[in-house]
Amino acid sequence: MPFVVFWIVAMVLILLEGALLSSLGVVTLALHLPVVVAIYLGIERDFATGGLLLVALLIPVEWVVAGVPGVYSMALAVVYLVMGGLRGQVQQGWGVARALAAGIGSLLHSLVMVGLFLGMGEPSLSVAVAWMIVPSVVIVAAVTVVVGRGLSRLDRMVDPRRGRSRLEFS
Amino acid sequence: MLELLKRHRGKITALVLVAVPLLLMVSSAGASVGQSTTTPMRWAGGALGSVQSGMTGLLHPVTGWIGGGRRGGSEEEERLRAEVEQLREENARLVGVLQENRRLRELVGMPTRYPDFELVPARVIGRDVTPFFRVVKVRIRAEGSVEPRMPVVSSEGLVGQVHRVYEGYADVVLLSDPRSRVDAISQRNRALGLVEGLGHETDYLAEVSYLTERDEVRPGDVMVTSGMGGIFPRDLLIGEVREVRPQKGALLQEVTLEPAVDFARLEEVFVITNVGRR
Repeated sequence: MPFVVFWIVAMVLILLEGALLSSLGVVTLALHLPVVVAIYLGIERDFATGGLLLVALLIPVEWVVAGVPGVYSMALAVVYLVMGGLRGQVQQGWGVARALAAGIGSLLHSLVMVGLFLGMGEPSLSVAVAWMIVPSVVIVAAVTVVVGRGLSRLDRMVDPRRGRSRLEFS
Repeated sequence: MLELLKRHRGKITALVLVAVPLLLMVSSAGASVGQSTTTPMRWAGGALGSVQSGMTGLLHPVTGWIGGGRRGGSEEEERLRAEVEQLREENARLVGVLQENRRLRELVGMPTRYPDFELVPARVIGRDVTPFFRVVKVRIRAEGSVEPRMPVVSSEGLVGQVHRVYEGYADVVLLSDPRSRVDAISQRNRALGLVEGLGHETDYLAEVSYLTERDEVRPGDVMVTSGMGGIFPRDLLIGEVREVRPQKGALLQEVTLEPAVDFARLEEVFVITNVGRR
Protein backbone atom coordinates (compact mmCIF):
# COMPACT_ATOMS: atom_id res chain seq x y z
CA MET A 1 0.00 0.00 0.00
CA PRO A 2 1.45 3.42 -0.84
CA PHE A 3 2.56 5.63 2.04
CA VAL A 4 -0.35 8.11 1.81
CA VAL A 5 -3.01 5.42 1.39
CA PHE A 6 -1.77 3.53 4.45
CA TRP A 7 -1.71 6.76 6.47
CA ILE A 8 -5.31 7.52 5.49
CA VAL A 9 -6.48 3.96 6.24
CA ALA A 10 -4.75 3.99 9.64
CA MET A 11 -6.22 7.40 10.53
CA VAL A 12 -9.73 6.34 9.48
CA LEU A 13 -9.44 3.23 11.66
CA ILE A 14 -8.21 5.19 14.67
CA LEU A 15 -10.79 8.00 14.33
CA LEU A 16 -13.52 5.44 13.74
CA GLU A 17 -12.63 3.71 17.00
CA GLY A 18 -13.16 6.93 18.98
CA ALA A 19 -16.42 7.71 17.19
CA LEU A 20 -17.73 4.13 17.51
CA LEU A 21 -16.94 3.74 21.20
CA SER A 22 -18.57 7.10 21.90
CA SER A 23 -21.68 6.29 19.82
CA LEU A 24 -22.14 2.93 21.51
CA GLY A 25 -21.57 4.41 24.97
CA VAL A 26 -18.70 1.96 25.56
CA VAL A 27 -16.64 3.51 28.28
CA THR A 28 -14.08 1.09 29.57
CA LEU A 29 -13.01 -0.83 26.49
CA ALA A 30 -10.53 0.33 23.88
CA LEU A 31 -9.25 -1.51 20.85
CA HIS A 32 -5.78 0.12 21.11
CA LEU A 33 -5.65 0.63 17.34
CA PRO A 34 -2.60 2.95 17.44
CA VAL A 35 -0.65 0.15 19.18
CA VAL A 36 -2.00 -2.38 16.68
CA VAL A 37 -0.91 -0.18 13.76
CA ALA A 38 2.58 0.24 15.26
CA ILE A 39 2.88 -3.55 15.66
CA TYR A 40 1.66 -4.11 12.10
CA LEU A 41 4.17 -1.63 10.70
CA GLY A 42 6.99 -3.13 12.77
CA ILE A 43 6.31 -6.67 11.60
CA GLU A 44 5.23 -6.04 7.99
CA ARG A 45 7.06 -2.98 6.68
CA ASP A 46 10.75 -2.42 6.15
CA PHE A 47 12.29 -0.42 8.98
CA ALA A 48 12.65 2.99 7.32
CA THR A 49 9.28 3.08 5.50
CA GLY A 50 7.35 1.79 8.50
CA GLY A 51 9.19 4.16 10.81
CA LEU A 52 8.41 7.19 8.69
CA LEU A 53 4.76 6.14 8.48
CA LEU A 54 4.64 5.90 12.25
CA VAL A 55 6.28 9.31 12.60
CA ALA A 56 3.58 10.73 10.31
CA LEU A 57 0.94 9.15 12.53
CA LEU A 58 2.36 10.23 15.90
CA ILE A 59 1.00 13.81 16.02
CA PRO A 60 -2.58 12.90 14.96
CA VAL A 61 -2.47 9.97 17.39
CA GLU A 62 -1.52 12.40 20.17
CA TRP A 63 -4.63 14.39 19.29
CA VAL A 64 -6.84 11.30 19.38
CA VAL A 65 -5.38 10.04 22.66
CA ALA A 66 -5.52 13.44 24.44
CA GLY A 67 -3.16 12.19 27.12
CA VAL A 68 0.09 13.60 28.44
CA PRO A 69 1.91 14.87 25.32
CA GLY A 70 4.66 12.57 24.03
CA VAL A 71 4.20 9.69 26.47
CA TYR A 72 1.87 7.57 24.35
CA SER A 73 3.97 8.30 21.23
CA MET A 74 7.22 7.39 22.93
CA ALA A 75 5.73 4.06 24.00
CA LEU A 76 4.54 3.51 20.40
CA ALA A 77 8.04 4.25 19.08
CA VAL A 78 9.55 1.70 21.50
CA VAL A 79 6.98 -0.90 20.43
CA TYR A 80 7.83 -0.24 16.78
CA LEU A 81 11.58 -0.54 17.38
CA VAL A 82 11.16 -3.87 19.20
CA MET A 83 8.68 -5.22 16.65
CA GLY A 84 11.08 -4.16 13.87
CA GLY A 85 13.63 -6.44 15.52
CA LEU A 86 11.13 -9.30 15.31
CA ARG A 87 10.46 -8.75 11.58
CA GLY A 88 11.23 -11.93 9.69
CA GLN A 89 11.57 -13.89 12.95
CA VAL A 90 7.83 -14.34 13.53
CA GLN A 91 5.83 -16.92 11.63
CA GLN A 92 4.24 -15.67 8.39
CA GLY A 93 0.49 -15.03 8.45
CA TRP A 94 -1.62 -13.43 11.15
CA GLY A 95 -2.00 -16.32 13.56
CA VAL A 96 -1.03 -17.32 17.08
CA ALA A 97 2.66 -16.40 16.77
CA ARG A 98 1.90 -12.85 15.72
CA ALA A 99 -0.83 -12.57 18.35
CA LEU A 100 1.78 -13.47 20.98
CA ALA A 101 4.19 -10.92 19.52
CA ALA A 102 1.39 -8.33 19.65
CA GLY A 103 0.70 -9.21 23.29
CA ILE A 104 4.36 -8.63 24.09
CA GLY A 105 4.19 -5.34 22.18
CA SER A 106 1.19 -4.21 24.20
CA LEU A 107 2.87 -5.20 27.48
CA LEU A 108 5.91 -3.21 26.47
CA HIS A 109 3.75 -0.23 25.52
CA SER A 110 2.07 -0.20 28.93
CA LEU A 111 5.35 -0.70 30.82
CA VAL A 112 7.03 2.18 28.98
CA MET A 113 4.07 4.43 29.85
CA VAL A 114 4.16 3.34 33.49
CA GLY A 115 7.91 4.06 33.62
CA LEU A 116 7.55 7.47 31.98
CA PHE A 117 4.71 8.51 34.30
CA LEU A 118 6.71 7.41 37.33
CA GLY A 119 9.64 9.42 36.01
CA MET A 120 7.37 12.46 35.64
CA GLY A 121 6.19 12.10 39.23
CA GLU A 122 2.64 11.07 38.28
CA PRO A 123 2.00 7.87 40.27
CA SER A 124 -1.80 8.09 39.81
CA LEU A 125 -1.37 7.90 36.03
CA SER A 126 1.04 4.98 36.41
CA VAL A 127 -1.55 3.15 38.50
CA ALA A 128 -4.27 3.88 35.90
CA VAL A 129 -2.10 2.35 33.15
CA ALA A 130 -1.01 -0.58 35.34
CA TRP A 131 -4.68 -1.40 36.05
CA MET A 132 -5.21 -1.95 32.34
CA ILE A 133 -2.13 -4.02 31.44
CA VAL A 134 -3.78 -7.46 31.38
CA PRO A 135 -6.94 -6.47 29.43
CA SER A 136 -4.80 -4.39 27.04
CA VAL A 137 -2.50 -7.34 26.28
CA VAL A 138 -5.46 -9.63 25.57
CA ILE A 139 -7.33 -7.07 23.46
CA VAL A 140 -4.26 -6.06 21.42
CA ALA A 141 -3.36 -9.71 20.75
CA ALA A 142 -6.87 -10.42 19.44
CA VAL A 143 -7.37 -7.16 17.55
CA THR A 144 -3.93 -7.36 15.87
CA VAL A 145 -4.83 -10.68 14.27
CA VAL A 146 -8.08 -9.28 12.85
CA VAL A 147 -6.72 -5.87 11.79
CA GLY A 148 -3.45 -7.43 10.55
CA ARG A 149 -5.39 -9.77 8.27
CA GLY A 150 -7.52 -6.90 7.00
CA LEU A 151 -4.55 -4.63 6.32
CA SER A 152 -2.59 -7.45 4.65
CA ARG A 153 -5.56 -8.19 2.40
CA LEU A 154 -5.84 -4.50 1.55
CA ASP A 155 -2.09 -4.46 0.87
CA ARG A 156 -2.47 -7.35 -1.56
CA MET A 157 -5.46 -5.70 -3.25
CA VAL A 158 -3.56 -2.49 -3.83
CA ASP A 159 -0.27 -4.20 -4.67
CA PRO A 160 -0.95 -7.84 -5.69
CA ARG A 161 2.73 -8.65 -6.17
CA ARG A 162 3.74 -7.47 -2.69
CA GLY A 163 5.82 -9.97 -0.77
CA ARG A 164 6.34 -12.23 -3.78
CA SER A 165 9.66 -12.77 -5.49
CA ARG A 166 9.64 -11.31 -8.95
CA LEU A 167 11.92 -11.70 -11.88
CA GLU A 168 13.61 -8.51 -12.87
CA PHE A 169 15.90 -7.60 -15.73
CA SER A 170 19.12 -6.05 -14.57
CA MET B 1 24.53 13.92 1.08
CA LEU B 2 21.64 11.93 -0.39
CA GLU B 3 23.85 8.85 -0.45
CA LEU B 4 24.70 9.39 3.23
CA LEU B 5 21.00 9.71 4.10
CA LYS B 6 20.23 6.54 2.14
CA ARG B 7 23.03 4.62 3.83
CA HIS B 8 21.97 5.65 7.33
CA ARG B 9 18.20 5.82 6.76
CA GLY B 10 17.51 3.17 9.39
CA LYS B 11 19.41 5.07 12.09
CA ILE B 12 17.87 8.39 11.02
CA THR B 13 14.37 6.90 11.16
CA ALA B 14 15.00 5.52 14.65
CA LEU B 15 16.33 8.91 15.75
CA VAL B 16 13.31 10.80 14.39
CA LEU B 17 10.95 8.25 15.96
CA VAL B 18 12.38 8.94 19.40
CA ALA B 19 12.96 12.66 18.85
CA VAL B 20 9.32 13.54 17.98
CA PRO B 21 7.83 12.21 21.26
CA LEU B 22 10.71 13.70 23.22
CA LEU B 23 10.04 17.12 21.68
CA LEU B 24 6.34 16.77 22.50
CA MET B 25 7.19 15.91 26.10
CA VAL B 26 9.64 18.77 26.52
CA SER B 27 7.40 21.39 24.88
CA SER B 28 4.30 20.49 26.92
CA ALA B 29 3.26 21.49 30.41
CA GLY B 30 3.54 17.92 31.70
CA ALA B 31 0.50 16.10 32.96
CA SER B 32 -1.51 19.13 34.06
CA VAL B 33 -5.03 19.63 32.72
CA GLY B 34 -5.68 22.66 30.53
CA GLN B 35 -2.95 23.14 27.96
CA SER B 36 -2.63 25.85 25.35
CA THR B 37 -2.36 24.89 21.68
CA THR B 38 -0.42 26.52 18.88
CA THR B 39 -2.26 27.84 15.80
CA PRO B 40 -1.21 24.94 13.49
CA MET B 41 -2.32 22.47 16.16
CA ARG B 42 -5.65 24.28 16.52
CA TRP B 43 -6.32 23.95 12.78
CA ALA B 44 -5.08 20.36 12.57
CA GLY B 45 -7.21 19.44 15.58
CA GLY B 46 -10.19 21.21 13.99
CA ALA B 47 -9.76 19.21 10.77
CA LEU B 48 -9.48 15.90 12.63
CA GLY B 49 -12.49 16.90 14.74
CA SER B 50 -14.54 17.51 11.58
CA VAL B 51 -13.68 14.04 10.28
CA GLN B 52 -14.55 12.40 13.60
CA SER B 53 -17.75 14.43 13.88
CA GLY B 54 -18.77 13.24 10.40
CA MET B 55 -18.02 9.64 11.36
CA THR B 56 -20.09 9.94 14.54
CA GLY B 57 -22.97 11.33 12.49
CA LEU B 58 -22.73 8.43 10.04
CA LEU B 59 -22.50 5.87 12.83
CA HIS B 60 -25.64 7.00 14.67
CA PRO B 61 -28.12 5.15 12.46
CA VAL B 62 -25.81 2.10 12.34
CA THR B 63 -25.41 1.86 16.11
CA GLY B 64 -29.19 2.32 16.42
CA TRP B 65 -29.66 -0.76 14.27
CA ILE B 66 -27.41 -3.03 16.32
CA GLY B 67 -29.49 -5.88 17.67
CA GLY B 68 -31.67 -6.25 14.58
CA GLY B 69 -33.37 -9.53 13.52
CA ARG B 70 -32.14 -12.45 11.38
CA ARG B 71 -33.01 -13.25 7.77
CA GLY B 72 -34.37 -16.42 6.09
CA GLY B 73 -37.63 -18.48 5.93
CA SER B 74 -40.71 -18.66 3.65
CA GLU B 75 -42.19 -15.84 1.58
CA GLU B 76 -44.92 -15.13 4.14
CA GLU B 77 -42.36 -15.16 6.95
CA GLU B 78 -40.18 -12.80 4.90
CA ARG B 79 -43.10 -10.39 4.41
CA LEU B 80 -44.05 -10.47 8.09
CA ARG B 81 -40.41 -10.09 9.10
CA ALA B 82 -40.06 -7.10 6.80
CA GLU B 83 -43.20 -5.60 8.33
CA VAL B 84 -41.94 -6.20 11.86
CA GLU B 85 -38.59 -4.66 10.94
CA GLN B 86 -40.34 -1.62 9.48
CA LEU B 87 -42.45 -1.21 12.63
CA ARG B 88 -39.39 -1.71 14.79
CA GLU B 89 -37.54 0.91 12.81
CA GLU B 90 -40.46 3.35 13.16
CA ASN B 91 -40.66 2.55 16.87
CA ALA B 92 -36.92 3.10 17.30
CA ARG B 93 -37.21 6.40 15.46
CA LEU B 94 -40.12 7.50 17.70
CA VAL B 95 -38.20 6.50 20.83
CA GLY B 96 -35.27 8.51 19.47
CA VAL B 97 -37.56 11.52 18.92
CA LEU B 98 -38.94 11.19 22.46
CA GLN B 99 -35.42 10.94 23.90
CA GLU B 100 -34.32 13.94 21.88
CA ASN B 101 -37.40 15.81 23.07
CA ARG B 102 -36.52 15.06 26.70
CA ARG B 103 -32.90 16.06 26.12
CA LEU B 104 -33.90 19.31 24.44
CA ARG B 105 -36.28 20.09 27.32
CA GLU B 106 -33.37 19.63 29.71
CA LEU B 107 -31.17 21.83 27.55
CA VAL B 108 -33.79 24.56 27.42
CA GLY B 109 -33.90 24.36 31.21
CA MET B 110 -30.12 24.69 31.55
CA PRO B 111 -29.98 28.51 31.68
CA THR B 112 -32.59 28.51 34.46
CA ARG B 113 -30.62 25.84 36.29
CA TYR B 114 -27.40 27.85 36.04
CA PRO B 115 -28.73 31.43 35.69
CA ASP B 116 -25.48 33.16 36.65
CA PHE B 117 -23.32 31.48 34.02
CA GLU B 118 -22.57 32.15 30.39
CA LEU B 119 -22.99 28.72 28.83
CA VAL B 120 -21.54 27.62 25.50
CA PRO B 121 -23.20 24.43 24.24
CA ALA B 122 -21.10 21.57 22.87
CA ARG B 123 -21.86 18.11 21.49
CA VAL B 124 -19.85 14.98 22.27
CA ILE B 125 -18.40 13.56 19.04
CA GLY B 126 -15.93 10.98 20.33
CA ARG B 127 -13.71 9.84 23.11
CA ASP B 128 -10.02 9.08 23.50
CA VAL B 129 -8.93 5.71 22.13
CA THR B 130 -7.14 4.50 25.25
CA PRO B 131 -8.52 3.16 28.51
CA PHE B 132 -5.84 5.06 30.44
CA PHE B 133 -7.35 8.53 30.20
CA ARG B 134 -10.94 9.74 30.43
CA VAL B 135 -11.36 12.39 27.76
CA VAL B 136 -14.28 13.23 25.48
CA LYS B 137 -14.04 15.25 22.30
CA VAL B 138 -16.71 17.89 21.83
CA ARG B 139 -17.85 20.09 18.96
CA ILE B 140 -18.46 23.62 20.18
CA ARG B 141 -21.86 24.60 18.87
CA ALA B 142 -21.95 28.35 19.38
CA GLU B 143 -19.77 31.41 19.25
CA GLY B 144 -17.88 31.98 22.45
CA SER B 145 -14.35 32.06 23.68
CA VAL B 146 -13.73 28.60 25.10
CA GLU B 147 -10.38 28.33 26.85
CA PRO B 148 -8.41 25.60 28.61
CA ARG B 149 -9.44 24.83 32.22
CA MET B 150 -12.97 26.19 31.84
CA PRO B 151 -15.54 24.04 33.70
CA VAL B 152 -17.89 21.80 31.72
CA VAL B 153 -21.36 20.85 33.02
CA SER B 154 -24.38 18.89 31.85
CA SER B 155 -27.96 18.86 33.10
CA GLU B 156 -26.87 16.21 35.65
CA GLY B 157 -23.92 18.06 37.15
CA LEU B 158 -20.20 18.68 36.73
CA VAL B 159 -18.60 16.86 33.79
CA GLY B 160 -14.98 18.03 33.99
CA GLN B 161 -12.87 20.77 32.48
CA VAL B 162 -11.61 21.85 29.08
CA HIS B 163 -8.17 20.44 28.36
CA ARG B 164 -7.23 21.67 24.90
CA VAL B 165 -9.10 23.90 22.44
CA TYR B 166 -9.02 23.50 18.64
CA GLU B 167 -10.90 25.28 15.84
CA GLY B 168 -14.52 24.55 16.76
CA TYR B 169 -13.59 21.53 18.89
CA ALA B 170 -12.19 20.85 22.35
CA ASP B 171 -10.98 18.02 24.57
CA VAL B 172 -12.78 17.72 27.90
CA VAL B 173 -11.04 15.87 30.74
CA LEU B 174 -13.71 14.05 32.76
CA LEU B 175 -13.94 14.01 36.55
CA SER B 176 -12.77 10.39 36.63
CA ASP B 177 -9.56 11.02 34.66
CA PRO B 178 -6.52 10.44 36.90
CA ARG B 179 -5.33 13.99 36.06
CA SER B 180 -8.55 15.64 37.26
CA ARG B 181 -8.63 17.42 40.62
CA VAL B 182 -11.63 19.40 41.88
CA ASP B 183 -11.99 21.17 45.24
CA ALA B 184 -15.16 19.83 46.83
CA ILE B 185 -17.33 20.31 49.89
CA SER B 186 -19.94 18.08 51.49
CA GLN B 187 -23.44 19.55 51.26
CA ARG B 188 -24.42 18.01 54.62
CA ASN B 189 -21.59 19.11 56.94
CA ARG B 190 -19.37 21.35 54.75
CA ALA B 191 -16.38 19.01 55.05
CA LEU B 192 -13.70 20.00 52.54
CA GLY B 193 -11.94 17.52 50.26
CA LEU B 194 -10.35 17.11 46.87
CA VAL B 195 -12.09 14.95 44.25
CA GLU B 196 -9.52 13.06 42.18
CA GLY B 197 -10.20 10.72 39.26
CA LEU B 198 -9.30 7.08 39.73
CA GLY B 199 -9.09 5.99 36.08
CA HIS B 200 -10.34 2.52 37.00
CA GLU B 201 -10.78 -0.02 34.23
CA THR B 202 -14.45 -0.75 34.74
CA ASP B 203 -16.05 2.37 36.10
CA TYR B 204 -15.98 6.15 36.28
CA LEU B 205 -15.42 6.42 40.03
CA ALA B 206 -13.37 9.12 41.74
CA GLU B 207 -12.01 9.45 45.26
CA VAL B 208 -12.25 12.26 47.77
CA SER B 209 -8.87 12.98 49.31
CA TYR B 210 -7.84 14.96 52.39
CA LEU B 211 -10.94 14.16 54.45
CA THR B 212 -9.87 13.67 58.05
CA GLU B 213 -11.41 11.31 60.58
CA ARG B 214 -13.27 14.24 62.16
CA ASP B 215 -15.04 15.08 58.89
CA GLU B 216 -17.71 12.38 59.42
CA VAL B 217 -18.51 11.64 55.81
CA ARG B 218 -21.22 9.00 55.18
CA PRO B 219 -22.27 7.02 52.09
CA GLY B 220 -24.95 9.03 50.29
CA ASP B 221 -23.44 12.41 51.18
CA VAL B 222 -23.63 14.81 48.25
CA MET B 223 -20.40 16.54 47.26
CA VAL B 224 -20.47 19.87 45.41
CA THR B 225 -17.74 22.21 44.19
CA SER B 226 -16.36 24.45 46.92
CA GLY B 227 -15.41 27.32 44.63
CA MET B 228 -11.84 27.32 45.93
CA GLY B 229 -9.05 27.47 43.41
CA GLY B 230 -10.96 29.79 41.09
CA ILE B 231 -11.55 27.25 38.32
CA PHE B 232 -14.92 25.79 39.28
CA PRO B 233 -17.75 27.98 40.60
CA ARG B 234 -19.41 27.07 43.92
CA ASP B 235 -22.17 24.51 44.37
CA LEU B 236 -21.95 22.55 41.13
CA LEU B 237 -23.10 18.99 41.81
CA ILE B 238 -20.15 16.56 41.62
CA GLY B 239 -21.57 13.30 42.91
CA GLU B 240 -22.49 11.11 45.85
CA VAL B 241 -20.22 9.35 48.34
CA ARG B 242 -20.43 5.63 47.66
CA GLU B 243 -18.06 4.14 50.21
CA VAL B 244 -16.09 5.31 53.25
CA ARG B 245 -13.18 3.22 54.53
CA PRO B 246 -11.67 4.55 57.74
CA GLN B 247 -7.93 3.80 57.89
CA LYS B 248 -6.77 2.36 61.20
CA GLY B 249 -4.09 4.60 62.67
CA ALA B 250 -4.21 7.02 59.73
CA LEU B 251 -5.37 10.62 59.81
CA LEU B 252 -7.27 10.55 56.53
CA GLN B 253 -10.22 8.48 55.32
CA GLU B 254 -10.51 6.67 51.99
CA VAL B 255 -13.69 7.90 50.35
CA THR B 256 -15.01 6.71 46.97
CA LEU B 257 -17.35 8.99 45.02
CA GLU B 258 -19.78 8.20 42.22
CA PRO B 259 -20.09 11.15 39.82
CA ALA B 260 -23.61 12.49 39.29
CA VAL B 261 -23.11 12.52 35.53
CA ASP B 262 -23.47 9.27 33.59
CA PHE B 263 -20.45 9.68 31.32
CA ALA B 264 -21.44 6.71 29.15
CA ARG B 265 -24.58 8.55 27.99
CA LEU B 266 -23.09 11.98 27.62
CA GLU B 267 -24.30 13.77 24.49
CA GLU B 268 -24.76 17.46 25.21
CA VAL B 269 -22.56 19.50 27.54
CA PHE B 270 -22.05 23.18 28.35
CA VAL B 271 -18.83 25.09 28.91
CA ILE B 272 -19.06 27.80 31.58
CA THR B 273 -17.12 30.71 30.10
CA ASN B 274 -17.50 33.43 32.73
CA VAL B 275 -16.15 31.91 35.95
CA GLY B 276 -13.26 34.38 36.31
CA ARG B 277 -15.45 37.37 35.49
CA ARG B 278 -18.29 36.70 37.93
